[in-house]
Amino acid sequence: MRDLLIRPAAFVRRELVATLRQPWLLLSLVLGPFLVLFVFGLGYSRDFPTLTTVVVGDEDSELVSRVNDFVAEAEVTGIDYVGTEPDREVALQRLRDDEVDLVVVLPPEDEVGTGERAIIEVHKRSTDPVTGAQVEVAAETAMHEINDQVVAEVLGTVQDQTATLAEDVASARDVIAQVQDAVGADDVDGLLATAETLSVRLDTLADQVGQASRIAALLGIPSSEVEESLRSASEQLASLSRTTPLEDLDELDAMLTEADDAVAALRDADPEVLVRPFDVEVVSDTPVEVTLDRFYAPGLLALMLQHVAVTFAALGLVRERRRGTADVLRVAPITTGQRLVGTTIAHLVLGAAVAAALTALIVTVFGVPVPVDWLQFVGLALLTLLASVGYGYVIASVARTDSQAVQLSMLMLLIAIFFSGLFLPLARINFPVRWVSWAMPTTHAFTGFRELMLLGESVSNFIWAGLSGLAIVLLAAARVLIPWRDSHP
Amino acid sequence: MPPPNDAAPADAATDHADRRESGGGRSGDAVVRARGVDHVFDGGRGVHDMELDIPQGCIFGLVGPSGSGKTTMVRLILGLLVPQDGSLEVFGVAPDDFSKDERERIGFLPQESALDPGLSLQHNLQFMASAYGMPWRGRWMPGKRAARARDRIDELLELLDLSDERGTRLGDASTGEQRRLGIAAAMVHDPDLLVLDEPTAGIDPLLREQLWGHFDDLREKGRTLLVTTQYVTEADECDLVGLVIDGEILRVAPPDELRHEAFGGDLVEVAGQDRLPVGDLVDVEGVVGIQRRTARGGLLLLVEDAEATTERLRTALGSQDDDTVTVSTHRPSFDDVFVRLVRAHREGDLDSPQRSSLARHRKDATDA
Repeated sequence: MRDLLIRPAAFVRRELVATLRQPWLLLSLVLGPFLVLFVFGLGYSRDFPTLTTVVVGDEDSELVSRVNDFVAEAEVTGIDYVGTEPDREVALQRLRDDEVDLVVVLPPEDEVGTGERAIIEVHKRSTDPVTGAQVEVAAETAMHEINDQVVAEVLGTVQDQTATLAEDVASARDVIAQVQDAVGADDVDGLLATAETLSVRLDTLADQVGQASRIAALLGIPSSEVEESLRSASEQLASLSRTTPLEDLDELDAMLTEADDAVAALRDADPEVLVRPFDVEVVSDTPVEVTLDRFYAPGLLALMLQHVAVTFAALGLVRERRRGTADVLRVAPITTGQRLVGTTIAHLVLGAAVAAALTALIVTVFGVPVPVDWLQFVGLALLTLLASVGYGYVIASVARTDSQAVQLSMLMLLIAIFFSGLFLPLARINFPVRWVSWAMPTTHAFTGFRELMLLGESVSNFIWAGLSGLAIVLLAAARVLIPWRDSHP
Repeated sequence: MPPPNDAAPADAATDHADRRESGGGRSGDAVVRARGVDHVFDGGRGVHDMELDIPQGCIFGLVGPSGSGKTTMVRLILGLLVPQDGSLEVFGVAPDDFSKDERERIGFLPQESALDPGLSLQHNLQFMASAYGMPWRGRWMPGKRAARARDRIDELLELLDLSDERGTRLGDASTGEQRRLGIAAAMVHDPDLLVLDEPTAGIDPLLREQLWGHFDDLREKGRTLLVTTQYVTEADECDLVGLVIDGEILRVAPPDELRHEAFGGDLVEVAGQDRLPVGDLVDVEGVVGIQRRTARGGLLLLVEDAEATTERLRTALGSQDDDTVTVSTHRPSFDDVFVRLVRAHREGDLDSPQRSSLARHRKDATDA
């Protein structure tokens, strides 16, 4: 039993002593990633870059003036509007010469209002897909804004018209009152004359209500019923000379009261609310605001743990083989298991020290919340290191030289950056490619650290199971492959 | 200089001493025995038909030019390569079946510096000691075994004149210091069989001489040393020499026997007189012929047996009465021996040398 401990302990001590004799290496392992994140946090702007934009169109046209008004009123961010250019080709040449970032080509005025949607072309020339996406989103937003403005203007016009309508309704109600009075006075001639006038007026009123029906519908006003009632009343009044009495005059008055209320509601409504009935308010449920540097900090920690463990484990074994140490150890009474156990413990201790120092820095400097459960945090870090060391050993059993080991370790780093959710959200990576993501210890660690630090939750069982599975499979593979590679250098 | 065993090394080493006493301890027993071993790499290079008996308590030198197959033979003996044909035993066990016990009885110095250049000389030795089951702990930690391991390391550093450099990083140490540390690492557990692959490569002659002195001491303590070298002259330092060319062991014999075979007899130098009576000398019994004239005007004679013939030559020349005449045994350099044997082998003049020589040594071992 004592011998079983002495030999692995020899590897632990050798690795620790060798590393401690290189203080700059340790320092760079901790400070390097921290400084990268720090400088990134300092230099990165959350705002999109401002795009210099020129509009193609006649300066005197209605559309251009509308665009000018829009830019002036809407306080558009991210767009530096540098004016109009009548010639489309000149504007596009300026785009090709990198003088402007965007060219907006307005449609000819005769294409607008024809019953078809008029197209506004937006030309870009950016090779950066992020900026390209930004342009598309900005163009969509601007189009919605312009469309909303048009609708709001139409609404305003309708509201202006409702003033006349309201007056007409009031006038019609007066006439009804007169008709009712005339019926009481038994003045048939006066009654017929008033009824005729009222009939004509109600017809006109029905036309106006009909025109405003689409807008009234937005308000939930049953304008078509009002229109029908008005026409029905008009017809009744027109037929007064042939039929008596006027039983429906009270009903007609009630109908006009209803129409008066509807018109008043339409007149008093805010066009902006009509056009944009909803606004959005995003409320974050995370314990702290997740800024960009806070988001990347756990990711960087995960990435560093994987990279340090993979590189150290791979290079350590390849160098042992290249120096001939592996031969000496094969001759000595040491098993591959003892050798791997000792080396692994050493990498875990060194990796844990790096993790502790990096965690302290990101918590104190970037304000990343401390993990809600330290035990889980330590367990997750150690399991990440273990799985990564397993990858390192597998690389060592494939690589023949230092440079091959370094190349493969860098490839692992690249895969981790692209597939772990650090660069692109994990949800945007489709299966089966997402299995590549879950094959990376960084992916599990990043997810787990975010749960512990940014969401204030426990690490999900999937992460524990995934990392444990990776570690077991990789270390078992290393146990088989390393002796084979040592005997086939 | 205290012998390794007397210095109370760690338990692993004392266990070996017990095994030496109880089994396989009689001088002359073959520690390594190879019969018809083949291991050929792609391209045809490798080891062909290796026949070898390395008796216990001797320095066995595998001598040959670079690329001749010495290291492959060493790797076969250590179990780092598996024979494709033939049988090979070390301590009576096939190397690929070595147990922990056999491994603890072997010390190995590879050609390249197999130690960690980032560690100090002392830390490297401590690591190797731990690999052989000797605890590596600081002085402030209790434990008799660890204390013995520290003593053993101190003793080896002293023995190889490395005490003053114990704290130096191996990567900063000189080539000689690195080589000596490698030897110390191979000896740290006091093994029965010490396999040293090119131990003197890149080392200055003074230090080389010093190292061979250490090897002699180890041999005196009953250890068996298998040493490979491309310095042919070092064959003189060995008890038995295996001459390796093109993956084959041409001859296994003591150095003087190889000299005798290379020249077809012994060499005697006659010098001192202005004109030597060549005709009279050739007629002396035991003289085979004249090898060549020497630079000082003397003659180098090829004789059947130098010891017996020298006296006859002195008598014939009357040198007992003439101080100006000297008759002495001439020991040609091993470079010459090597060149002659290799040339003879390549011209087909050496037939089955290996087996005949081996058979003779097997007989010697039995007689002993």
